[in-house]
Amino acid sequence: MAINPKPNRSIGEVLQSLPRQWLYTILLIVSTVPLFIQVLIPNKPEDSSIDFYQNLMKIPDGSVVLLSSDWTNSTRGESRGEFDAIVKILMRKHIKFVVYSIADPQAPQVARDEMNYLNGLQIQAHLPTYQPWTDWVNGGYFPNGDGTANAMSISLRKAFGGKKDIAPNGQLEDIFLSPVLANVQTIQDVKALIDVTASATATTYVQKLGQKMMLLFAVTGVMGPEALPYYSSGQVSGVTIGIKGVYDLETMMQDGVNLPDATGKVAVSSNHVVGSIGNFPGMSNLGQGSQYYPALNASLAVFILAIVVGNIGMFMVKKEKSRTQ
Amino acid sequence: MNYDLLKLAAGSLSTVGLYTILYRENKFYRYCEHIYIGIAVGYSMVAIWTETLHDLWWVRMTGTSGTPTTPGTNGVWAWMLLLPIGLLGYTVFSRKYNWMSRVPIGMIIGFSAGQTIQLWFNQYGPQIVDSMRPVLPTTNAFFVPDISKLSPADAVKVQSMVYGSQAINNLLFVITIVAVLCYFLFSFEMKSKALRGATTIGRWLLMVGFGAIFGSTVAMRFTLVIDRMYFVFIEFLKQGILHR
Amino acid sequence: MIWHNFWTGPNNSFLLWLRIILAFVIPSALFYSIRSVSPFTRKIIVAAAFFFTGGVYVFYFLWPQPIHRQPLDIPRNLSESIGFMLSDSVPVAADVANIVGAFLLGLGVYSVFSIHVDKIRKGHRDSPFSIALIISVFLMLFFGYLNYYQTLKAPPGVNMTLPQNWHFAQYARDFLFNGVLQQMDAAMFSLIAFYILSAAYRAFRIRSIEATVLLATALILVLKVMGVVADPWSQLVHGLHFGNNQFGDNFTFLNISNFLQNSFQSSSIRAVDFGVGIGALAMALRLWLSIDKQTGT
Repeated sequence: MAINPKPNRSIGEVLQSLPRQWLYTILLIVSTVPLFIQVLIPNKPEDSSIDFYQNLMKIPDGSVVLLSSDWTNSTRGESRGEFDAIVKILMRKHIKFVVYSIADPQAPQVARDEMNYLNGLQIQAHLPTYQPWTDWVNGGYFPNGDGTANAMSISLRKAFGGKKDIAPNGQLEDIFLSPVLANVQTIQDVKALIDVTASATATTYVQKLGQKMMLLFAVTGVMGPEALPYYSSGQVSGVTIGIKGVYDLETMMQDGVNLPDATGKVAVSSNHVVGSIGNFPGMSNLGQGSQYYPALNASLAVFILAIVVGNIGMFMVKKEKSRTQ
Repeated sequence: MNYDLLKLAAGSLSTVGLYTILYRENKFYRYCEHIYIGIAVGYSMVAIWTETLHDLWWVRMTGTSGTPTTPGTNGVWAWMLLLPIGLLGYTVFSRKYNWMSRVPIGMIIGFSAGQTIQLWFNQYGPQIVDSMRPVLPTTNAFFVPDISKLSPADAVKVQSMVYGSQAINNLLFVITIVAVLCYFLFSFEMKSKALRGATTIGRWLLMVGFGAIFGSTVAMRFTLVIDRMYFVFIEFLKQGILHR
Repeated sequence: MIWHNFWTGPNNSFLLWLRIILAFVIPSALFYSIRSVSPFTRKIIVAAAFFFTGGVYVFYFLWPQPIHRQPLDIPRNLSESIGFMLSDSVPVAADVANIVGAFLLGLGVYSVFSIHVDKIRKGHRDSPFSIALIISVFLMLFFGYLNYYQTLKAPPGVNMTLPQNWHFAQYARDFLFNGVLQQMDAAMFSLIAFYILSAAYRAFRIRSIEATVLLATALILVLKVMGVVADPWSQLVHGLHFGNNQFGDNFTFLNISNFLQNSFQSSSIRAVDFGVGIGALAMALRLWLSIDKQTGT
């Protein structure tokens, strides 16, 4: 019985056929090890993130904003960092907000849990917590996001009419009875709509509210290229994209923009901004962005290496074939 | 074992269970997958009522009795008309009467279609206007000055002018839009060489957009893996078990 | 007065409940009676559903709207009356869509139940997994509603959403939702990263101009995100001068990426969006007017 010997594979073929389990293991290792090493990688914020931060900082203290929290734990890696950074800024500027969702029925509960977590951080830092009902309310979930956003552009009171949240007396009360919305009659009384999203809700808001109020989007990496055309046409005042966007926000919260430190050195400079933008000195500004960024760098390096190795293998095989022919 | 640690342990076990599919299909993964779907379905059944129907429909229909701080409200019985319409959707499972399910589905699609017509220009109008960019410079300077060092009044003057570098960028922008739009002209045959050339260039420039989408997607997905590793190794193992 | 009382009724009153029951029974009887109408009549009914629901927004768009309408304004003429009515209808239409959409979400739930209950009934080899699914559904349902009920009936001054006030039901709901569901959600989505890496390694080959352009753009964007590469490169090119200008700064990964993004990426995606938008508008018109094969000509 003839036995076919296993043909010798060339280096090019070997390079193109590494077992996938090796790739998965390498990715798991490079995603994990940097998490144990706390290193701050230098960062230059993008223009869209700078505009996001600048416009958020321009909102007068004590105003009311809408915070559309359209994310769940499926995109926790990016959206949670964005939500945390934005809410920290809102808390520090004493800006009241209504958090609600038009994308996912789980999202309002995720937002409530995250607010509990952020209040826990405030307690650890001996800072005042953000009280539900007094400082923020939860508007719940709207299955028909398009219709809701359309209704918001006409009458905010009717769009959110009937929505209830738990008042300090433990009872469900109309959210317009809360101190957050008591003085809000129309959409013009709300200074901005901030959308933390992993889906196409950004398009919904641009369509319905683009010309009525300031829009700020915190999107995941996948939605970034879709949101940027709206930013470049001026329909959206700022976009922060993915974990890089989170790190941009944290960097600017830490160092400001065009702001010299005690030694006169400017950590974050931008020729996109007139003057400077303030920071939050002495506060806990760094979070998920700075924690995940080194691991992201390592993972992307593996990604580039995998593509390079695969293509080198392809070229080597091509060369061998042309030599033998 | 306290509650927080129990919760972290359950989450880590669930994560590891789902990750076992990377090695090969196995029963542990199948159990985790089915538990995931079950809890998600259960939660959506809770959220439909608690997050939406209770406030938007039931309370409006039946009214409220009022509390010491807020007066009661009357109920509006007409909201009940929506329930038979919604239930028509379940006739989709009937072979004979499934045409009736097109009524509520048609309502939802009708609302969506109406809004598309209403709001089309809101979405695309500013983009069409923005696409008409100046391709000729209005000043002799080529490079844009650094506005961060200028006064607000000077910055406004700088931003109102079109510099040489900006004119080139705008020209590339306009060419890209026209070329990519040419690529999507399928309703007639491309006989002209210029049009065919524009289509080819459009296809290449489209790849630039897709490359950006691909790069963003890769970065985003890797972030999700990093987040899972952070949860298992840092939140559960390091902080939960080892208390470091 | 009579008109006002016809549509409303005090909470828990007999008249209100009677009207609510009649509002369910009469339309249900009507739908039952038309269940076997001719195909032509069916087309008319479905087309009417499309037309009147879409018409709210279309007529709101086409009809002149009152400018700077204040909450207590009264319409002065027929045109303003219709404008007021249309703008008041839009939030109601949104609520109707929200409510009908919520009712229709049950379709997915029903499908899941029917598939898995069927597997259990027939003793399929996957039935143990289906049993696990059904048990998970009922556990989440039970603790979800128990938590909600306890939140509604909490003693005055007690906010049950705060962890310090939790009982067993709240812990159980939190365990199932945050401890299990949310973590599994994240794990499921993150699995794609492994497949992307594997696919990029095996299939991403520079065989054509298009593939090369796509790969080059993706790599530039990825390198921009990688601060360990982007920052040293920025330091390197920062030293290049052209007269008084920091010409070298144009060659940082951030600025190259911004140039690609502003000149090519945004414009190409925008062009795709224009095409999609025109198609969506055409489709929306066809659906609203029922000009398609299924609902008529």
